[in-house]
Amino acid sequence: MEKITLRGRPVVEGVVEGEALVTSGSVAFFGTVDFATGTIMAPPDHELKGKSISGKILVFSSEVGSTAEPLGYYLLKRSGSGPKAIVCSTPGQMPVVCSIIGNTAFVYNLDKDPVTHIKTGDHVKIDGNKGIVEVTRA
Amino acid sequence: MMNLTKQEKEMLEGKFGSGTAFCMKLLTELGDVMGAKKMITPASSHIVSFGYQFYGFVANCRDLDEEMLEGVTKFRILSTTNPKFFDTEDEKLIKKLGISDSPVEKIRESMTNRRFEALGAIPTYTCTPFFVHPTRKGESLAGAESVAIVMYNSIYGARVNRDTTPTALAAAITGKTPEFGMHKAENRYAQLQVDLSEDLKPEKFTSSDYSALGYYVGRIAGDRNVVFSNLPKDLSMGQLKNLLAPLGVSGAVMLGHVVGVTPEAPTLEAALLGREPEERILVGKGELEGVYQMLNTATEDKADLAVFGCPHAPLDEVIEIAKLLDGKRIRDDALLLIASAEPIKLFADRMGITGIVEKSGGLIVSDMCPHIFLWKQKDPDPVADIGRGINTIATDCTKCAHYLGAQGRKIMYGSPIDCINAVM
Repeated sequence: MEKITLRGRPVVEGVVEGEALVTSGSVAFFGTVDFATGTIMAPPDHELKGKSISGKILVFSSEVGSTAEPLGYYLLKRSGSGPKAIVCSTPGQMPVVCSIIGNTAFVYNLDKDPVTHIKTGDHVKIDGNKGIVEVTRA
Repeated sequence: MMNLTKQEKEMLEGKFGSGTAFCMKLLTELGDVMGAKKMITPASSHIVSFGYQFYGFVANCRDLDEEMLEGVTKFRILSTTNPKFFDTEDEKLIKKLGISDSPVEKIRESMTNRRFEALGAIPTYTCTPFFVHPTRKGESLAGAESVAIVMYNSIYGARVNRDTTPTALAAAITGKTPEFGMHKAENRYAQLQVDLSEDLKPEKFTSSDYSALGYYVGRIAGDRNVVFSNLPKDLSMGQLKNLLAPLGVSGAVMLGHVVGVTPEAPTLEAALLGREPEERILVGKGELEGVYQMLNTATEDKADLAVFGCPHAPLDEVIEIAKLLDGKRIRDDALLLIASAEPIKLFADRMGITGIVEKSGGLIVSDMCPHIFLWKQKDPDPVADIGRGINTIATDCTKCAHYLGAQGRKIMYGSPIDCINAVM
């Protein structure tokens, strides 16, 4: 068992944990993720194409695409197909507003890059009260 | 923490109702996270109505709109509006799409646009508000729509962040936006320098070539500012739109300088604010061909629909397409749409351009998002029928190809004349 702790600024309170799904690229919730199933549909060369973000802790690099991302996130949450929470490397409005609107625990500006320190399948616990992201690897 | 004025604090405390308080809380939390010290009053906000497009989820979307609008009687700043699902009053379009009265009525009822209009929004219904609601260098704006953001920043030198749809609406309601990012002059330098290689002849570029170039660069740029160092100095507004808009589709770019063309880039040094670029890329023929290959998924050489104006076409682009259509006739079982803003369509009507397009069997449509109306609808859904029979779509716009490709439609990506030939 290996444990890694990433620290940042708490933004949205709450604690959420689950299995990580990681991409070094971006995920656009609006238009390129199927609202009904949470499956990533595009771009054609996306490393997670065909995979579902549903129920995962989605870890990605930066925002991309439509400014309606928080709406996409909100819709995915409401339909039960959204990720449990998101963790993002670079600062942008999108992940912040998604988490506020979707009311899911969120920690911002982490001291270590989540994309390189978290691997798909890791157990991730986001503590939005303390500003901590705990990673457990089997 | 941000320093709030007395009025901003009162908004937060609920003096102006729960909707305004919700919006101010969102903007304050965002501002705190992004390191803003204070709020500023943007000159306008470009807002997006969560209209009909997600029928299966529309009640949920309206919840969010309603929560934000609770107790609001007027927008505090000028607000322009993004396209609707389509113009429910456009009888020619409705006839062409073959939709019966009942779904049209349902769409009309479900749209929040009228609510926005009642609050004082300018009913622009375009993703290109910059063509109909100009600004000036240095003016701060708020607003969503990736195309509007990159264009306002780049072609005018106005200042706007990549506001999300909720933050843009919150700005319209409160009249405030947190001051960070693009609002500050020191953040407006280019990080990625793009040089065109000699095997490309931009003076011969079609609209689809410019769009492919922007799309390619957006994928590399991510959220960084871009400078194009060696493009022709006589780029038209239409060409700039085709080049810059895709930067916010394949990337999250807010600002694309074009040396010798855009106001903050009289020289390369000015665009870089005297710094070295973080990264420099050379784009050649192979890179552009790669975009064409990636976006082209069609298996047939005929299309059911040709789409122009994604983002909405300015008048020069509408005229160019009309010239290509003059004297031609598209197939009876095919559609051709040129999407534009209402004032542009009005000028086209007066100039006889609309007549040429309609004679060929095509339509100029306003107020409409020419790709969202073809997104997957939840079945059973009265509008799921709209897209039936439309399998292959020809377009010269990467934005349209990107989103409709993602939605599983077959795409023919090509120049305007190739797109027209595909529906003849």
